[in-house]
Amino acid sequence: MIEILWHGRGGQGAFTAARLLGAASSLREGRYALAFPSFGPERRGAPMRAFTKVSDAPIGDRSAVTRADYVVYLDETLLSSGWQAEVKPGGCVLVNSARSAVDLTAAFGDSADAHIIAIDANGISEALLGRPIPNTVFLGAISALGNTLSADEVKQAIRQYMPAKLHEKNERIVDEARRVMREGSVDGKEGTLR
Amino acid sequence: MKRFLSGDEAFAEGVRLARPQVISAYPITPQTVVVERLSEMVESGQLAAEYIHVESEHSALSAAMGAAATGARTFTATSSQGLLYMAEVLTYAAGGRFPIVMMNANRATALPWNIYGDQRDSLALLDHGWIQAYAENNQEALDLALMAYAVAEDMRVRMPFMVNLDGFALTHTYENVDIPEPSEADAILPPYDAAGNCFDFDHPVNMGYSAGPEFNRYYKYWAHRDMAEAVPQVVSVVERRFEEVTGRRYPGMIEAIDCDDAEVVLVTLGSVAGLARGVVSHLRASGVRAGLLKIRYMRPFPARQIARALHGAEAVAVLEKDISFGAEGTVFTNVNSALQQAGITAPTYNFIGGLGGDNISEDHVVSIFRALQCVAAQVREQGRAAATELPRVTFLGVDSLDPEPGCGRVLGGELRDNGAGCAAPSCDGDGDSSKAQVFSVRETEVR
Amino acid sequence: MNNDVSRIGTAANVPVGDVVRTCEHIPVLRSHLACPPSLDHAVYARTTCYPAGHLVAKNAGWRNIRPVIDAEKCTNCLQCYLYCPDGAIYRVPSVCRPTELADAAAAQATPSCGSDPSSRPEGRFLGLSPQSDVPCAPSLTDVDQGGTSRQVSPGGVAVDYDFCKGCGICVRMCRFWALRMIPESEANE
Repeated sequence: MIEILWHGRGGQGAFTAARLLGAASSLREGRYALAFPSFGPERRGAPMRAFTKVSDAPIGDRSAVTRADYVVYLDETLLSSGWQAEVKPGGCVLVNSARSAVDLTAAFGDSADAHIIAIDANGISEALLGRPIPNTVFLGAISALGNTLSADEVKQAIRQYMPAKLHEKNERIVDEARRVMREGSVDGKEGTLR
Repeated sequence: MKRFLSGDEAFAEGVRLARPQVISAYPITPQTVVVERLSEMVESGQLAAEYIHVESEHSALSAAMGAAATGARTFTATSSQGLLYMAEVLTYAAGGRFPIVMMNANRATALPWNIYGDQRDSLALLDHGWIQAYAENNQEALDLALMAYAVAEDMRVRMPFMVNLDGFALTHTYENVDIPEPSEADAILPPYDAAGNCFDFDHPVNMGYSAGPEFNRYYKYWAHRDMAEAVPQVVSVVERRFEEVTGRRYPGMIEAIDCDDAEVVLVTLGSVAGLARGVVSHLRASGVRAGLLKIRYMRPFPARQIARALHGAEAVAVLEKDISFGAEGTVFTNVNSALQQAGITAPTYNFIGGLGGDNISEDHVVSIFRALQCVAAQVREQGRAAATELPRVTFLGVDSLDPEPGCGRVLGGELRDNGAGCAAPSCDGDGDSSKAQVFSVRETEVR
Repeated sequence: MNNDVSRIGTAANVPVGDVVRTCEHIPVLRSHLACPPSLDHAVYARTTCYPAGHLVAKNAGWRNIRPVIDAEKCTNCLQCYLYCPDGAIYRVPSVCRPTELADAAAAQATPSCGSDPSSRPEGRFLGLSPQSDVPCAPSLTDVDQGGTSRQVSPGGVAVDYDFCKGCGICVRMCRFWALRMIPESEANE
């Protein structure tokens, strides 16, 4: 089972991202996914988490994800030392930051088992959406980190679950995120979406 | 059509397909999304229903009953305190034999105040004449919405039906569901025929009257008999029709997984059954004769089927998200009665978990099976008196599951050791160390 | 130092633990209580009644912007203090604030609603009733004994950054441009 843990502040779209990733990941036959937010008092700005689980078998465990294959920080102010405890060995942490992964590991610690990838998701979405809403960038990024979730599946999920007026721009964000993952500003090793 | 939906959203789709004519509802977390979605559907014209905004749950069910008394198919939904607030109307609806369908989002009851999922609300109200079913996942929830009407409205049944969904674990968790087409729904569920149990200017009736000592018992006798005898048969018929139309097959009042040759069996209901399936599968793969008994319907209570499924077990655990204070969990009470009546004497143990939204983890379930194996081994070695080594009632996260030291040698195989001698999680889902007390301190059983 | 729990919140400048709170009704963390209520569930879980007057966690982590006070523009009108939904703005009493200073501040102020400054009572407002044991707040930024820095205006208001969630209502309510929001990353603590 692949597990993704999303960190965000209320209003940043962490749960929307978790949900879209779940929807995209389970489009194909024989694939199952669960997506849910951390349940608690919520308000704009308060830290929250969301979870996506993906598997080739029905998922009966509805517990929150504690150690994930991918941990996404939609807000870099939520990243702190001790981040390693939330990643599985071989896993990957994606951070919405204009700083480099080298800077982030210098500030918050490194790990032999897991690595940090820094993406300026705010910048990408500002350029393409006009607003710093980082969540779709990470859908694109995760799809680029392996070969079991395709860009097309992400785009299908966008078309099925987002309002029509947002489709085109968000699909372009997916493409841009994948380009960034392929070509530039990625420090560290490639991960694999198993 | 496949869609990635929450349990609340999926249930709303099922209700839409059932085409109720009157919906009356009051919002309460974690049910709110169901009634919101339905109101959107009514507003957009997707669902042609009369939507009554009421000021309380008591009015919600009263209005649904009033509408049912005019011959309309009705729907309402609630949770915990709302269910309790409408509790007096539950008996009216049931005694009046109105086939209302209500979705209950299982949620903890106050005090202390808590919005998260557990099953105290509905399990405390088993006695009021409503059929009660418990969904394991969002697909079953959606399907139960349709099947509930088909069962409730059947001429042989004629009683209200409460469909229970675990708060947040189902209501707010997204997963894929297949939404039937309207034509498929219509093939499963014919239009409501009140068959005279309604106001009619052409055939005036007296409804909702009183019945004194010389007659009252007959109403209660038939309500009981109809529920006990007719409901299981009708459920079977409806499920067969459901399978013909959608291809999805449901197994009736209970589902027994690997119980035939099981040494140790876990009995549970709702979404926890989904968790336990995976555990049983892993245990079986490692050679443990583990079984799972999922109770789908708590009312009517499938006593004989439960007894049959458990007849070979050496130790049985009932895992539920409620407690009847000063006694034991209500599902445990019901299961024990069924076993006693069938002459089954295997020791049974109650595990109370998930209260107030507390997480029940895979490790918890594994530890329950380990504890059952332990006590079964001790009974084999030392006789029935050894059954008291495991307390009758254990609260996950408070009491210990620490069986006698030395259990490891009887069980064989690998046991994760936390220093207390048996399998134990180090930390629960969100890292809250207070929940790690599950297996740390042994306390005396609750008397 | 006054260790009596029952007296918390009844006198200005009561030290509690290592944090000096200079005004009445400032929320304090449970951990700072001299005799904290029990955290043993065998004790606390027997009723749903628990000692009040304190909070259980700081929610500074909720914000990524924070309000800062421009003391020279502040007229001590107290709107921010009244409107803060979390009570995270508190009054700093000052008997030392001369009326001339207060008048000067009021005269300079350009409220957005355009009312006549001289007609406002704040021009003569001196903060809380004078108490002889309360010192002036002498500087624009000071650090209390607990190490928490505060923005204070002389005889004005201060922000409790332990509990400010960064909602910005104070900025919205201020008519004198004395408050603005800055990113947390720019805050100097």
